[in-house]
Amino acid sequence: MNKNLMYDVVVIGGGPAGMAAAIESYNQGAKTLLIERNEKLGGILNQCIHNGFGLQYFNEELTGPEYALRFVELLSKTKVDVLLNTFVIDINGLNVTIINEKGQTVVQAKAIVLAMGCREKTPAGIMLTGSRPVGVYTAGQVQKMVNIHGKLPGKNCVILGSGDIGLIMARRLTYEGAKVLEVLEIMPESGGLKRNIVQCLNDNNIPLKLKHTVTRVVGNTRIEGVYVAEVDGFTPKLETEKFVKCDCLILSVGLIPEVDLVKNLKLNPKTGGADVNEFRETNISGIFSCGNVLHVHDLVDNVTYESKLAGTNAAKYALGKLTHKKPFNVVAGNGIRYVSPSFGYMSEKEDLMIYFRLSSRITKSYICVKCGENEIYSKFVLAANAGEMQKIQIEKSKINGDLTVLVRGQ
Amino acid sequence: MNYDVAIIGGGIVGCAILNKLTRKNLKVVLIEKGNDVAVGASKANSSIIHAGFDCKPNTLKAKFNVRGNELTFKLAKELSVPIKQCGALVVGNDLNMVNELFNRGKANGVKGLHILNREQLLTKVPKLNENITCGLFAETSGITSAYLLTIALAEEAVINGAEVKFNTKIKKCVKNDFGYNLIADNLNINAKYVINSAGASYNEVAKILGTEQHEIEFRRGEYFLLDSNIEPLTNLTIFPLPSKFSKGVLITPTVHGQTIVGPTSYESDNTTITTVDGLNEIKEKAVNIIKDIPFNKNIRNFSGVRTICGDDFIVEKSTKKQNIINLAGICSPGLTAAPAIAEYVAENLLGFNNADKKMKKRVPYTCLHDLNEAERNKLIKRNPDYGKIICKCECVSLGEIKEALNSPLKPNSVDAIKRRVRAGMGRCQGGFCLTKVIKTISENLNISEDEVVKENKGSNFYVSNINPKK
Amino acid sequence: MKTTCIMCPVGCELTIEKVGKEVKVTGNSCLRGETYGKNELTNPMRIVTALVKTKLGVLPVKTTGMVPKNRINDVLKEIEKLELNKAQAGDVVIKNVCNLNVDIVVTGNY
Repeated sequence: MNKNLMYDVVVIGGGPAGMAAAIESYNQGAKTLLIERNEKLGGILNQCIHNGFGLQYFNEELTGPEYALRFVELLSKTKVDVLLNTFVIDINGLNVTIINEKGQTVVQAKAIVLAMGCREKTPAGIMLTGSRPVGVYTAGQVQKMVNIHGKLPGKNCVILGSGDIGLIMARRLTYEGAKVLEVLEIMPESGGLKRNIVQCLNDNNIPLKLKHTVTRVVGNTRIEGVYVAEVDGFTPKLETEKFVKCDCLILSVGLIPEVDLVKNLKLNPKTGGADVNEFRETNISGIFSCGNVLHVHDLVDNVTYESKLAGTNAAKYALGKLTHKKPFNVVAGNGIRYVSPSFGYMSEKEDLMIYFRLSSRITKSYICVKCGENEIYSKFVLAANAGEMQKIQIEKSKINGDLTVLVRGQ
Repeated sequence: MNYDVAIIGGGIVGCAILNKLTRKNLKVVLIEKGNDVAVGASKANSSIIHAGFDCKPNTLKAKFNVRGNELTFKLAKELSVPIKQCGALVVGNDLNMVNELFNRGKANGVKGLHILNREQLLTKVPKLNENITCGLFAETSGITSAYLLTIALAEEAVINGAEVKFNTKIKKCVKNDFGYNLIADNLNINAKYVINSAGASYNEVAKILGTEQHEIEFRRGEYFLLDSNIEPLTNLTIFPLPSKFSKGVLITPTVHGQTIVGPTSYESDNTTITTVDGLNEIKEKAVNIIKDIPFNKNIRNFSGVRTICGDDFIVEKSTKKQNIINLAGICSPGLTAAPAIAEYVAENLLGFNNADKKMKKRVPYTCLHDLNEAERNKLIKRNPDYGKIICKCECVSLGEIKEALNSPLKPNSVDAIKRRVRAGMGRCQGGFCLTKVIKTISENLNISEDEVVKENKGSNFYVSNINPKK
Repeated sequence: MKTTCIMCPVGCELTIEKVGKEVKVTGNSCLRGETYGKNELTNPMRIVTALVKTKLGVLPVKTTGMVPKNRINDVLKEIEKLELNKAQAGDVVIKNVCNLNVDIVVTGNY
């Protein structure tokens, strides 16, 4: 393999985040490399064959693969170098060690964009008990089995967790000839999008049981069924335990940013992703982060916006055009679970883009941003759900100190 | 087909005997009802090579543990199985009990035992709970991978002439002129000697052989397996002072850089379930050793069943049937004891006192993860499949998976591949690589993806193509 | 019928009834909800996404426009029947499926 590969910007991960970041980095004039471990670009979008992508960014409704192909095409018009089937095994400072069919080598970068996405919580992540037979999968695994490999992992499925992938898979499995018996959600409300509950579950008469969970898995070789119980808070009420016969249990119980590749990365405990500044730059100077490895998004459109920002700024950093002067903090106040980024710079002229999530569903409230005692932004919302990512844009001229994002009533 | 010896049960004990008898230049066959070796208790335990200080003196456990410790380190190195003599601590605040263990160890002939005070303990494990005041340090204790050791023992035997029959359940055993005629649905062989090392299925097999039944008790042990990326808790195995039933909830690093916390010890039937109570008990007990254990970095809960027959191992000649050996109740320290049991069975019980023959060396699996850059480049240049990473958590390449598929025991299940090369063993637990591994197995064994199994017969991942005809 | 409005995050619980020839929507908080509710009762429409079999594996497909909800199964059956040699994104694999004035188009590549 070529020794001494050198780039201004190396983008790790060729899904929607990485592609957008690489394109913007190139547009800023940076010599850019995009590294993807799979044999094609697009990441998880390739297995998300349902529609509902791009309503914001493209103003039309696309499927996952179509959204990916739009960016593959945009990318093909740039001179971004793309390495497929290439795996990053180490990041040391700004040196990226890669391995592929040609061998192992180090790529020297002036800036790195992390765009590796997220992984799914496993049975161990929720301490699922009982036996460990074949037939227990995560929703993304099942999505790959069905949509990429054309295979059914079971004919009578129970879905634990009402995350969006779980809901989407309830419909997909039904369409492809399996029966989805029920979807169980331990919380009093589903974190999934309303649209998915209506069009994936209700349309197909699949019951959603709120405040229910699986207490144990039964079956030695193959799964034979699960015990399901109502919960009080998070504790199962064992007197309500009932056996549900099934040959497949699908977990849709949460996603975790895949940050493990980078050592000494300062993390935001609320998101599990990196703690970043407004450039989406991590605590490690020159390493940027965007998309689901930064915080798990619900809409790919927001991934694209965020990643363009990260790509632009990584390029500026590599080309020595980024200034970090007069820092200010961005803090999650009342009613806000987390904000990203957690700080910005008054020296930067571009508007500040804040992404955040609410602690719980709000109705008829104001989302505000305070700078000291001054409210510099407020927006009335009729209703907003905790699971849905929110974003606001603040003009830099209004900022002269630390910001707090908060929810207040009328 | 005629064999000198037929061994029924391919756990660590059966495979250690298979290996030893092959070294004695005998024609040996291993009969296993599962689809691989090490699919029972040998795949779900703490993988500790015990020093031997806590067995009662003058028991088979004590004798085989101490001898087995010595043999295991030698054998693992010969077989290129990962093993580390990291030592073990037994900690608590009852100095009398520590003294008792020390003395018991001495009586058993264990070397390298030291009684340590809190200060000395802290130099070994800085994160020790503040209530711990004293402990015993055993130099000779260590860690390995129980299933890799079992696999390696069987592989070396096979490349030196032994045979292994998987998915074979003995149904009938009849005495004949040769010795015994053993019959299964897919097997009909004769053997001069038969060894029952069926572990949890001992009595089932004994019934077929017409040999002694033993009162067997099952004890289930549940575990946590923590991610390799946690801040290291300990470099050596730490036990609490033992209870009547078990060695207690221990914390140990694994040879692959992960951390094991467990086991519990529940009376049980022969099922390897995990339970809420069990996992909570581990959490509660483990904090008595180290306070802040990141249980949120749990990547797998598992459980194993120990087969217990009274206080000691049963390693005996059957008195009911000539030339049949009964091995029952080989619970902890069975892994450590296995090579010593094998030696004893071969030399003392069967009387094969001839010197071991020189064995053809087993080729260890390539482990990309452990190679340096130059070695990796050399390997990938020779075969580009080693540059195609399939399992991203454990950095396992297509080349390694293909190598495992072509290994001596011809494994064909996803779990068998996982045990050999660690694909799917990491934090995503196969979330990303499972379908790729299934595809690789299907392509390389020339079977359809629908035929690929997780472990045993019937554990197929796919039930059909999409839109099955109703 | 009862359903949840999906036009915005408010998620109003709608009750939709036929009163004589009129369709009455209650529970909505805006006009979009009323329109949505009326359509859900009289003529609910959906985009359908599915897989088409080819000799090289499955590929994702979609309807080029919305189809009536009660015709989704008919559309799926037509897609199921296909077994192509190979295809790529953009290929129309069924024209005017079930006479619904929409096509089935491939949305992704191998």
